[in-house]
Amino acid sequence: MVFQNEIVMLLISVSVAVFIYCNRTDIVRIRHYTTLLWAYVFFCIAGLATVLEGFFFPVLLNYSEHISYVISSCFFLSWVCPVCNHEEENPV
Amino acid sequence: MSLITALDSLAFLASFSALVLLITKRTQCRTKFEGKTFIGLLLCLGSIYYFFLIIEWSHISVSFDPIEDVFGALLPMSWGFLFYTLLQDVHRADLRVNKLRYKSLVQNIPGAVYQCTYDQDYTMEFMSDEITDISGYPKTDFIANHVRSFASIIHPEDREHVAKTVSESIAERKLFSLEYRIIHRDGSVQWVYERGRARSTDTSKPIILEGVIMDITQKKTLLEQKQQAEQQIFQLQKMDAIGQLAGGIAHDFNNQLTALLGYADLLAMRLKEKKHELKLLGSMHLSIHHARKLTEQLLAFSRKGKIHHEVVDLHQVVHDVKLIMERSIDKKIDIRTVLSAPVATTMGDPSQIHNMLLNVALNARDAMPDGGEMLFESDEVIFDEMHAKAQKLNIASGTYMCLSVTDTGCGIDAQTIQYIFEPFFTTKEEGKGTGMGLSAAYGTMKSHKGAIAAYSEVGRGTTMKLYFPVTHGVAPKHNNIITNSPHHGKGHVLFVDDNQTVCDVAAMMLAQLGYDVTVFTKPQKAVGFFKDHFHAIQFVIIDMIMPHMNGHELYIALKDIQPDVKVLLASGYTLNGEAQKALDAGVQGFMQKPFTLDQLSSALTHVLA
Repeated sequence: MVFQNEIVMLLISVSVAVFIYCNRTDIVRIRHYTTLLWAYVFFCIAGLATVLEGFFFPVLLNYSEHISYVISSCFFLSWVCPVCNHEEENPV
Repeated sequence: MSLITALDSLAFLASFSALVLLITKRTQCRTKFEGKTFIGLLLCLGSIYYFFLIIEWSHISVSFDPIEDVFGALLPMSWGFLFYTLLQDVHRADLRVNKLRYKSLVQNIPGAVYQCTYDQDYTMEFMSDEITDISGYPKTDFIANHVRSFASIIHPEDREHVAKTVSESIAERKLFSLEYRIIHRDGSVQWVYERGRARSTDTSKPIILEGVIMDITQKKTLLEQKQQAEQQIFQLQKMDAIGQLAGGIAHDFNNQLTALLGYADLLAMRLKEKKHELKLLGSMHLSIHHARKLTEQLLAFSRKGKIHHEVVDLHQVVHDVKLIMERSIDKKIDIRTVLSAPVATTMGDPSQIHNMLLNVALNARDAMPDGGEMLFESDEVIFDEMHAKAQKLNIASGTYMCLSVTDTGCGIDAQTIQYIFEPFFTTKEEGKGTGMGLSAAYGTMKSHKGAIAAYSEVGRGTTMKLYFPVTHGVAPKHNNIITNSPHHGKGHVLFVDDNQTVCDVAAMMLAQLGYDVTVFTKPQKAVGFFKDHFHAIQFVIIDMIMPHMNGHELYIALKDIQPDVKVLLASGYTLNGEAQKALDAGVQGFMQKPFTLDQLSSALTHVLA
């Protein structure tokens, strides 16, 4: 069963991904940008899995969704830690 | 607890930890990046979202679906905002870096960078701090023409040139570069170089000029000094070249004059009874005498004349000249002397110095046709190496007596003053001056290791400064020897000169004086003859400059044959150089060409004595 809100969430996530792609030359100048991007990639995977679980492999994709959320959160935490502790004035 | 609940708990824990970290480190974060609000928001949303997921999968019979949906939609949006604000941070950082770079560039550019509106006063919109070093005024004075406009400190004589160049470059849409003067805050004049361009030539908007102004005063001063030094070298080389030429001409001319003078003297002796012819000969003699004066001046200029070296009292020379001038010039000219030099003696030729000072004084007289004041001053000047260089007199360091002759006449303009020491340069009417007086003075001063300099202001007068190297000693007293008639003698004279005419006239003059003469135009032949007849020859007269063998070499050759040979050198050239060497080697005397019968007779008497 596909919920409308899940599709909206996926669409917004894809839009943000397009925005990131368009600004990739500047995005790479964000400190520890790879960690942050991985966090976002897994967030998107979770959103995609949420939508797809309504069509096939509901159990497997449901697990994937929640695992992706965990990985995304962990990546995000690992991005916040060095950024908050960094001594330099400039975050980029 | 199911696996999914555990996973959601983990996600919640991670998000919540990050949120706690962000809150605890907020102070550090505050200055680091602007995106912290959205990080916080994202973390809050994530924590809440995962919290709802935990509840949902914990089989708690409470439905949060609508709230979960809202948070589910907000979560990717906050991701978007997070990336957006982080990019803003990147751009802000770029801006900061660019600002710093720009500031550093502006500060380190060797000059003042400016931006101004193209109006009458060049209203300044921006100006870098360097302008303070260049103009002495703080930059804030110029911004918006707050205290003064930059145009107001441009030298009044250069304003038009600056305005013209800038307007032309705007019209042609080209860069402009110009050099002009500004008035420094301390009143001094500074040279600046400006390079700039108009940012826009759109006439509907005010034109903005941008550029850089650099201080080039030092460079300009060095350049001027270099140009002056080059000009000085050029002038010296030119004077030397002219001197060489003049000396050569005078030498050859003297040979001709020797013949003329000799023949005139001989004729005069033969025409003793014919008064009319003698009168004509007297006129001829006078013309030759004038011609000889001219060649003497040429030789003085070229420093190839005969110089006696003895101690000369310059104050005495001034008194002598003053006496002559007082007797001969217009009474409207007042002559004064202020002789304060403690030591007024120099080593030199009194007759040349006397003539030179007379020439300078006569020039001063000629500059005051309506009367005025002629002032002779003397003072001691000590030149160290730097001072000597700075004065551009081309003299060695040491103590000099500066003898200045000042007139209150018409003065000489800056253009003319450059040429006054050149031979035959005169501003006098045709026939009133040969143009040799000051050039002879120049040569005389050079040959006395001194210098001459002229300072003049049109309408106010001229000062000629003569620098003589000071020598301590007592000047000898001179008695004028007047020879009434030539002394006759006896003996065999060998006369050697490469000029046949001079040989002919000399032979006749010597014969007239009672001597037997043998002449040679080739020195080698003279040596051969002398080898065979040295017992019979009483003395030898030798020309100094001859091809293949000069007078000095000939003297050495003759001396090898007969060590006590009596030799008299005759030359249209100098006593310096080779002739001086010959005198030092033992030659008995020197006779300057052209010579009269009397002078020849006196020289021979002197040598034989």
